[in-house]
Amino acid sequence: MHAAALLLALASLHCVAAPARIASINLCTDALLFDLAAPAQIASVTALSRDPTLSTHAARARDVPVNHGRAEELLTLAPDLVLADGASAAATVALLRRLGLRVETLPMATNLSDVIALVQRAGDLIGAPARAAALAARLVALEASPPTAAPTALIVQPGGFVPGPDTLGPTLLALAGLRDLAPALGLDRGGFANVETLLLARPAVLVRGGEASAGRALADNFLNHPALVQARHAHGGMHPVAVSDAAWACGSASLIDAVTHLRAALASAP
Amino acid sequence: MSAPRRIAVLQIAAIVAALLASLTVGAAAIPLHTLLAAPFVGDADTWLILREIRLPRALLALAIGAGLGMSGAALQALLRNPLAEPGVVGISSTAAFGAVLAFYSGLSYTLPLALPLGGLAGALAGTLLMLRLTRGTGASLALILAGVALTTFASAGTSLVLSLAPNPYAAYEIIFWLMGSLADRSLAHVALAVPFIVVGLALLMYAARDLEALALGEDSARSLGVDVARLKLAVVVGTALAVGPGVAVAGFIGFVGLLVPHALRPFVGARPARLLPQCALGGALATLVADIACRLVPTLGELKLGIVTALLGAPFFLWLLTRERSLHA
Amino acid sequence: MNATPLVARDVLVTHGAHRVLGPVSLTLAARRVLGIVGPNGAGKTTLVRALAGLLRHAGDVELSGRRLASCPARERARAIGYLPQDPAVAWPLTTRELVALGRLPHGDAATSSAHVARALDTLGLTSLATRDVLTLSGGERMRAHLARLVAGAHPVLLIDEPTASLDPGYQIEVLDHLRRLTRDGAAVLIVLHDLPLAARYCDEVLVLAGGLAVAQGPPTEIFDDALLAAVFGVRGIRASLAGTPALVGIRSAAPAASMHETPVTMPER
Repeated sequence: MHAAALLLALASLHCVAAPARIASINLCTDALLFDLAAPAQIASVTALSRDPTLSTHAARARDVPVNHGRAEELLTLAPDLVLADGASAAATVALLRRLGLRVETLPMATNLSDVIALVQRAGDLIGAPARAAALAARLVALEASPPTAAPTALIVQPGGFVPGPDTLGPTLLALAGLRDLAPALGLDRGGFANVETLLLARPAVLVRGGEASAGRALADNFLNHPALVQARHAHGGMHPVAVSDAAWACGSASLIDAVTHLRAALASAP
Repeated sequence: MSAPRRIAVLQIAAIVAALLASLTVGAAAIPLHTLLAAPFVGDADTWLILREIRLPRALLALAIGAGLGMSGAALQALLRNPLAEPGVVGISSTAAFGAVLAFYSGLSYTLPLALPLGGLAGALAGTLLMLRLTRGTGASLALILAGVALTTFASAGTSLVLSLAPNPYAAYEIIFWLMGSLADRSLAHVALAVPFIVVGLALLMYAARDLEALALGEDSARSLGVDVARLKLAVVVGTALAVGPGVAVAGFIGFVGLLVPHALRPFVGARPARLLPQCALGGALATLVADIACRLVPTLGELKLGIVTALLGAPFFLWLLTRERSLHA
Repeated sequence: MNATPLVARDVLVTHGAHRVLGPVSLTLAARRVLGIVGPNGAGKTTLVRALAGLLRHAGDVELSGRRLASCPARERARAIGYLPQDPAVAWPLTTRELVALGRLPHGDAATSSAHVARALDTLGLTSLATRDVLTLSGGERMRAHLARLVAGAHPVLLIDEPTASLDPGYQIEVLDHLRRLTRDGAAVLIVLHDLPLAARYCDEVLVLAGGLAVAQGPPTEIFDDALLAAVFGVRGIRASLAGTPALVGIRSAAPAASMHETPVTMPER
């Protein structure tokens, strides 16, 4: 894994100098752009980056032009490089390439080594290998000192949704020194938790996230179910810790912040 | 014991059995003896599950089912048409629209009562509109057309509100509103809906006495001293109370009000004073059993309650339609 | 009963600017049958509904001297028994249940078995009491509706075309029953389309045409050929019943005479 990354890095050194203007059409590639690129290089990010519940760079995104991932917008922008990932519509990517734009697709990260490889590849494409290497080193350091205790935990999002191994959720829990209860609830591939089984399993920590910034939805009812509230008051456990989805949804620098935040919350928890 | 009384006792017994069954079905496999012992033995977890998760669900199924059953029978008597029921004539859909407006606007967050009241307002508007559209004729064609018009409009409105809602989860919740579900309902939902439903049932029972005279047509009923205008109002308000808040809390559940009166009529007779209370029992039983079935079918999640009632109800509705057409052919 | 059961004065029904009925005045006396006849569209049903208090109208209707409009609904329902044309039964009822509905104005529909039993007996329906009304023959069903009226013990009965869709035998049966009801004290107003029947069973007839009463009085006086021709376009066939010439049939008013009218002496009833 590391050897391949090194080869890629070497190969890219022979490429053209760092692209002057880079556009991103996905939330996760937006994050990488903000983490690694020089401000002058950022030609456009997605409009979603301005939503603080979805992106940790919301403030910076306000000063940057935004796009909605549509081919026309990108064409008028005429960037030197377009960054996309697995979440992009294949049709859009194909169309952009047909229109003569250079589009690079980055893979989705589902564990720490994926994230490290992703960061290094991004660094090469953006032309900031040094910065990428520094970030990679910080990510590697996350695994170095795991906390000693391993309380049980579960990430629960509105509607009772538990993210599965196709996201960085399990990785987040592992790095924070938490034992993921999802497999015990039959949710090892992710899915919807049930109030009854959640109550009986009683994870020590309930990592909440994904709550929208605006408006109500029925999905909010799950985590506020009276049975869970009462159980928590009666026996403790299910200690809620809020971690913004934005921090760990993508493989980027904010993952470090998410893990740190979670570790700190656990350290100060009763 | 007379036949109707026997039927009532049978239904009550079945309801008790279904209630016990409903309390034993759930994601956490808890054996019956543990469940029954829980409140006495101090088994806090099981008691919590029983009291806060399974009991509210069963109570809501009973109450909502009773409301749907009785209002179906009342509408069929008022309109003198066997095809009438809250789902078919569009009342449940308009109720959902009212509830969705109250919820996603954030109103019910500051004022929880706004949710059932929204459902009530929607149901009331729907019933009044339906009567206006059919102009009291009760003819099947007018009835079905009114139902289609109201349901289409209300569903479109509901979808629109959900699409415009700022919360991104809202768009996925259309399935709940259009197909109904009792999953994870709490005692708070019971408190929001059941009192309204009880008042609605009482009002419909009060109207049942005068509904008897409608067997002879509106003119004869009026000549017998029945205030037909007030009777219609009582049925309208009673139906809205018995149906609206239930939809606000559980989404659209159709066909219960159609199936139950037809199932009971051969045994209990068609007279409203007897049929209405029996249909309340039958509706409660049917909805509770359907809700149990939802949880037993081995799909990935739980099956939606409205799907189960529609799977039984829609073919029956079609059969009723063809039978009526052949009678009139 | 001192006051006349029903008196109508200048009853007028309008639909917008269009005059549908009236002004019509009539008096309904106890123990009498008043027949309303007239061509289609003359306003017969409108008149009956107005008298029953089912329509808004100008003019006065008095019930035993009291204004109908100021009577409470209960009292009106007790005083007037109304049977519309082609009475429907919306859902299955036994004969007894149907008849019991007649007790609604008295508020004792549940406990009134004596009145119901008597009404069933009067109309000869006791053996059919538990049958579903919808399975009865046309005549039996009409008798059941009449029994409902009887159960209500109304001093005034307003009946709209009870014989309209009945077989001749049943028509006679129904009218015989009605005459018997007047013997018990009722005042009966009945809309008929069959002129000979009206002549035979009514003490008095009121001929309605174009919303107005064109003639009122005993049938033997009213049904002269001039009126019959003017209103119905027919001529009468008369026979002598118990000494008095009565209308027993009708024929075209066209002059081509194919039948001589020979007085026929009918045996006494």
